[in-house]
Amino acid sequence: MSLLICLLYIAAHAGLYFAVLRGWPKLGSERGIFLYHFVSAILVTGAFGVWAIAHGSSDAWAWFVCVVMLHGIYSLSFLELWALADDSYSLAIMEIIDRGGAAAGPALTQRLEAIGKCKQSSRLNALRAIGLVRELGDGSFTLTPFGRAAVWLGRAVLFLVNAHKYG
Amino acid sequence: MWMILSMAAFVTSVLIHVVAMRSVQHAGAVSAFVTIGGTVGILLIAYCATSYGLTSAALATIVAYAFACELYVFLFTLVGNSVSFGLLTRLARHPLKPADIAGFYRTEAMIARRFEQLERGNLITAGPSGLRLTKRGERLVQIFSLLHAAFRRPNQWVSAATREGYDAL
Repeated sequence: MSLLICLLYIAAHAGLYFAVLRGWPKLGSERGIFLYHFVSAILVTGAFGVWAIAHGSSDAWAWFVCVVMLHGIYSLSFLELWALADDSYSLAIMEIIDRGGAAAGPALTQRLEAIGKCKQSSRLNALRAIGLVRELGDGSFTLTPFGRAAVWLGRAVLFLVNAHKYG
Repeated sequence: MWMILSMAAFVTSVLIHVVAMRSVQHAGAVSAFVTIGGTVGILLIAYCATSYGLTSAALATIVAYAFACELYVFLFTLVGNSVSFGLLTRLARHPLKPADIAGFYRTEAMIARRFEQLERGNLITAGPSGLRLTKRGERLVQIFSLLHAAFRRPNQWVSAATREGYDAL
């Protein structure tokens, strides 16, 4: 029953976005769409957590984990697709090649470099907005403690997959 | 017990993946993990079905494993391809001014790496008249054109390039 409620809730959450909210400017930013899912995850965890505590059985806790993980899979998949559709550099390259037909040579590279530079500047602003980077008095940028933790975590992940190139 | 089983299956998948990425040359990290994680997942489902039957514990074990796998793939693809992570690692060395960042970050290398990845993934190919999409690449672009419509979000970099007159090139 709890699984069915969770699946219905997820369908309603996605349905609400696609039917009503996708045109809202507040959900048009990374922060907005992340909050839409984060608040939902908190609500689901809270509601099913209270239910599991009230029930108290190990079966109830298993359903609780099931529901929270399902919501996690849904939100992560949704946000990945949203971010790829919105911001993927590789997809941009493919779409530009697709539009330009047999595009090649310096013109394509020049355009992609311009896009790459815009992307860096937009990313720097985004990193500041989420508190990973801060500006010093002399106008230069440095990492916050959260930024250092993110670099440490990222390097650990790259070590696992034996990746030497990134960015 | 079921939570330990789920985590043990995930850690096993990651460890096999770590070894595979160091022992198989030119292995794609995502395809390797899909193969390894999928195989371990099937074994986990079979074990849960025989040990627990169709119970909440069995479902929780499988769903928790699936979520952990998705999160792992998300993290390593995010970090491996992220312009943001590239910027963070540069800033980790010492503070930089915006002009230094632009000079530091070689967009040519970033583009070359994307081309390499797209060619390796059989999504683009270099023909006599220049770069073109493969059938697989065309399908992916079609899928994402549906997603652009569903999310009402065109790729912002393509939009910027078009605004700046790419079509005229």
